[in-house]
Amino acid sequence: MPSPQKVTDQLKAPSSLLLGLACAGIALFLIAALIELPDEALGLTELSKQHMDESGVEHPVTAVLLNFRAYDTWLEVGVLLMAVMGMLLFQRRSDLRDIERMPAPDPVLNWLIQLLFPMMVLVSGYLLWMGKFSSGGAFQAGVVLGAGGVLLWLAGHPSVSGFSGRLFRFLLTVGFGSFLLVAFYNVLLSQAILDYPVAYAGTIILIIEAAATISIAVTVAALIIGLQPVIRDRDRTPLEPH
Amino acid sequence: MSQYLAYSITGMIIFALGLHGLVVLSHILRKIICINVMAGGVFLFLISVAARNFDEFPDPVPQAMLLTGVVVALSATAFAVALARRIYTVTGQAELIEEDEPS
Repeated sequence: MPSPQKVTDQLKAPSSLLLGLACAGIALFLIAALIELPDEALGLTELSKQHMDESGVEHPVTAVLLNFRAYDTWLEVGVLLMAVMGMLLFQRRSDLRDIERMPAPDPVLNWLIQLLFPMMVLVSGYLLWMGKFSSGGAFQAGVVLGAGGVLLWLAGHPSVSGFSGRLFRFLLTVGFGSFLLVAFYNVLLSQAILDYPVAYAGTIILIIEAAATISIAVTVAALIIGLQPVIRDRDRTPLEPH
Repeated sequence: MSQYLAYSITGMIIFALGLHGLVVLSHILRKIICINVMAGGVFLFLISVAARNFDEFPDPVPQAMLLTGVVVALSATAFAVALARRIYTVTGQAELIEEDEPS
């Protein structure tokens, strides 16, 4: 078996030339297809504009995300959940409590974190609120909050690895679950699965977005923190190669 | 020729560059980075193509797809890295090479 260092990314000359040509061909084909597109097309702008009044929010992107195409967003939150579940499965654990913590930070970093982390929570909350009328919403807010979680962990604080298993799982699933609750309620009333009453649409969207923000933040932080190279006993004994 | 086309074409070129890297490079981490480069091209395409249907606002549907796509790409990358680490733990190498001799 060759050692990992020996195998470099050296290419065999003829096949690499061929592959390069093939990829250039694909690029040209895609560009040709793009140029064929008509400049003005009947997209979904008109349709979204007509229904903005019933969406409960004032920003079209938020309206699409959380109302018109909420099903899509729901499943994307599900994809995030599956990514973190997959990672935990491969590592054979159900939470991050056994992960080794970073060493305690020097005073300057600690001071910076004390300054930055509350700011990040604040910015995240503002982004969430801003989704109603401007660019912003659950995904942006969640990523900022998740970055805050990673920052905390880098500075030696427990961050998401400090949550107990039950709390960790609750926070991971609360975003997906809030969509599920709305869908379940609607199915009970035999309505369309993610249909909000117009009068309460804004409130429902804000609640779902807040839950999704928490889930996205915990997911992103858990994915990054869970990937840290922590050598544990079960990592040291590789499975039998077949 | 309209303005959005410049961005869309750039996006497609980035996509093809990433695709080339994905096929040619053998290290798993490089492949993961290439998939991210490809995703970058697709994102640039989506955000520029939203300008085609400009009324009071650009088409919100591609924008929404992009928004969720970025976060999903981030988590899928993290999952891919977890897989790559598992492959390295089990096999001791991080390259996908063609097997010349039977192992």
